[in-house]
Amino acid sequence: MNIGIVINTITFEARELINAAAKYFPDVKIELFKNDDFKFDITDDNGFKTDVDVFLQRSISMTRAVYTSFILESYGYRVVSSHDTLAITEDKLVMTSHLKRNKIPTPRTMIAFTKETAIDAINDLGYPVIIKPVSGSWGRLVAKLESLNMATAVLEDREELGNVHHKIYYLQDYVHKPGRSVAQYIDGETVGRDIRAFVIGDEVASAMYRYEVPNDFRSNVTLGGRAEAYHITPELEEIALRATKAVKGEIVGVDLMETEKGLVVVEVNGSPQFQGIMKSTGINIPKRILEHVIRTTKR
Amino acid sequence: MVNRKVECPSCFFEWTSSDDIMEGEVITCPDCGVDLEVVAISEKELKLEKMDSSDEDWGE
Repeated sequence: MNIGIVINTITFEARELINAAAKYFPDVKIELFKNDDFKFDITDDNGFKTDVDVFLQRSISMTRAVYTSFILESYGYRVVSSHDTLAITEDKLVMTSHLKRNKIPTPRTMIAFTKETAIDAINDLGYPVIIKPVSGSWGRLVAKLESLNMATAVLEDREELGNVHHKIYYLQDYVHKPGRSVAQYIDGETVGRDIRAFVIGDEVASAMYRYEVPNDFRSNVTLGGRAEAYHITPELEEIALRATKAVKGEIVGVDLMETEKGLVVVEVNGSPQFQGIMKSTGINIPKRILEHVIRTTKR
Repeated sequence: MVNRKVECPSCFFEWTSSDDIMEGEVITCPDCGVDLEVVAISEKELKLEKMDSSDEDWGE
């Protein structure tokens, strides 16, 4: 089987997939496709030819990931993650709507398009409120609004940023994260956490707690959030797999939070990184990804 | 086995790379932790550039 990996650069994830293929699947040929090098005639059915059986989408640029998955699928190739999954997950407004339509519990979320209506929405939600850009990752431009003064300042900042997407105000209830690790308990600090579940096909391959970055409310591993293995419960498995289906996902990262009423899904990532989850849980994610795509791809 | 000299363009720390490094690969400086992209590989050296990961659409 020939597997193509679409990349911007050879990230940790691409490198681990290459290494896992060499170690566990010697019959698999891996070919890298740098999206800087692509040139497509999208009006010609034969505008792109390769003997690749399936593409793994690992482009770190989400715009390019969405487009290259779309174009490759237009030529008839199978791509994981698909354009459908990426188009849903790269836009938080669209993603949250898909979660809601599929009755997945998610924090209350409001959308507004002006500073004035955003302030109204924030008052409806009640402080603190989380503001997020509709597109973006790694916690960029995510802020916790704790007062009217702060909300006004952040909204004015967004208006000055220039990009029209920053003026689509995605406002979400702040979920008070429970939990602290033993070490943090000993230190006497209250450190919030969330959960990242890594779904491959019909299984939650692995899950981890992500603890808040010191002096921050965010817990992204890329920002320095500490990861710790999470014992997968039936509740987590059920909700993570339902969230995966809601975004037409195959290999996704589902972010959840614990509440008094049970788990809620905060977001689904369509092209999840796996460095943190591999290190914290020891699960061989790249091997599991390759097993899945080999098993589910017709030659 | 090819051991290539590597110097971080950010903190100038020097180390020796693994022999299977590939052009376009992102590596992390073991001293200052900055992400670096391998932009060229010669027989004895790797050319690295600090990776600009500030693009708004980069993510997962």
